[in-house]
Amino acid sequence: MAVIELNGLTKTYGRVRAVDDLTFTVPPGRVTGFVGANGAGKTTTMRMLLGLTRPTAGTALVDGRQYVDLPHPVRTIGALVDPDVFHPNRSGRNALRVIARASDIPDRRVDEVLDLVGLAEAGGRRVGGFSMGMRQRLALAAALLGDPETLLLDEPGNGLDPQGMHWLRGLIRSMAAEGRTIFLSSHLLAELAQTVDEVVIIADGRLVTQQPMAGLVDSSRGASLEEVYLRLTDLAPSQPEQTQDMP
Amino acid sequence: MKSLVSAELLKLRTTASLWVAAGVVVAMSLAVPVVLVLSPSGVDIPEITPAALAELMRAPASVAGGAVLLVGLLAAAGEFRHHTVLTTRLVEPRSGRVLGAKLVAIALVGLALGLLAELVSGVAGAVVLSADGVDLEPLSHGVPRVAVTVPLLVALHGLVGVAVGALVRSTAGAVGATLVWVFVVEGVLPVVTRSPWMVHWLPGGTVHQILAAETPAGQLTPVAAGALLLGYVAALVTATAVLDSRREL
Repeated sequence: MAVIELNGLTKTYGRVRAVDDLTFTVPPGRVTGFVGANGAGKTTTMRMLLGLTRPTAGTALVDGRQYVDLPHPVRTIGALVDPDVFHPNRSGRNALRVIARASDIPDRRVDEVLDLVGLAEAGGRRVGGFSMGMRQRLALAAALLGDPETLLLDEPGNGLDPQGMHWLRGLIRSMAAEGRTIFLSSHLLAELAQTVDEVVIIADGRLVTQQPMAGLVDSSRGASLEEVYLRLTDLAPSQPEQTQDMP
Repeated sequence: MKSLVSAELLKLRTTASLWVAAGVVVAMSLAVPVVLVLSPSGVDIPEITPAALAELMRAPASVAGGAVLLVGLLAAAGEFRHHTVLTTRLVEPRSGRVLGAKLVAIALVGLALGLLAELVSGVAGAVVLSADGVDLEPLSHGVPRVAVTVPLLVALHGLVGVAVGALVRSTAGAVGATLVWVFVVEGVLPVVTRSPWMVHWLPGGTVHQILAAETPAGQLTPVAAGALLLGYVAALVTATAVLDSRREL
């Protein structure tokens, strides 16, 4: 069974169709990259998947259920949607303790994830004094708190320096090696190409293609993901290419 | 639900507003008895009787209520200001349960600060009155009623703060709306409409009537005023819950 399943997902704001009849699945145990230009609908799609935004039509399911119906959401899917989701006057550790307390997760797990994201020593400091990269790491720690089988990461590399990107790549690979399902969006296509097994490309809220990374590059005669993306999205508004079932 | 309430209490404990409010409540609870002690002789102060203890214990109700209202308001509207509402909703996607947990948490905080105010003002008042040679009669003159009523009223103020904060979703907007209500709707409106009776039926007026030692003609009894205030709070909380469930983040 697909871990994440979108079926006819649509979101309109007035006359603007931010997401337009989006249908695809994120298979279990794989790293799936979600690629699209600014305003293509990636974040809106992810927010609908997490129940933060209400779809105009269609469904977005995690493990066969809407997010709101998951019995233990944080233990099922860990999400990073925005690094600025912590009270600036609360310490990093306390910010995570709040989430842990609400989810019946023991406090020792807070220290584990702080250590995992490299914030063990900074955990006692106010979040307001954190750099963008540190807030991003803290948001990632929050996503990992429930030790979920599935991770949804919206631009996890934002604000990270080269060392941080290297660390993030290693973390995602280690999570994938444990058999977790990872669905991540990024503008850093070269970075993404090194990490993902599968790629979903959208433009103007519509699906352009979903393919295994290897197949995408092979079918494009070794072109980079960036070159493939630019070529496909130029076609996207008038000629969406549905290749999800391609061998 | 217990976990959510526990998390909301932890949120309150790990921000400054609760501790500032607690400090203000303690300071104001001490202030009135201390002023009484420090008042120079010759100042026009009514004769002090055993009934003064109840008056001293009524005194911090407004400040404690206002402080907890502000704490509740910041706790609810602050979630939107700092975007923490996103993590809150990822943990518990059902808005009604989140609002319920916030209301329970602020009610518990309100009860605790209300009891603290009564304890401080009661003990300080007793010391001051004893030193002045006044007989203490802690079970008379409405003292037990005040000691129970003030914490309940402070808790209700907290519920109002959370409801307004969740409704307005902006700390500045929620504070502004509260001030407009207190000073314009409750303060000016009865005057400009030449309807002084209106004061007794508005929420602020019900609080005064609940705490009043006596019920003058034309005013509500403490029980009737309490029922009316509960109705106002229930209506506000219900409206917030309904709107909150329909709105997106």
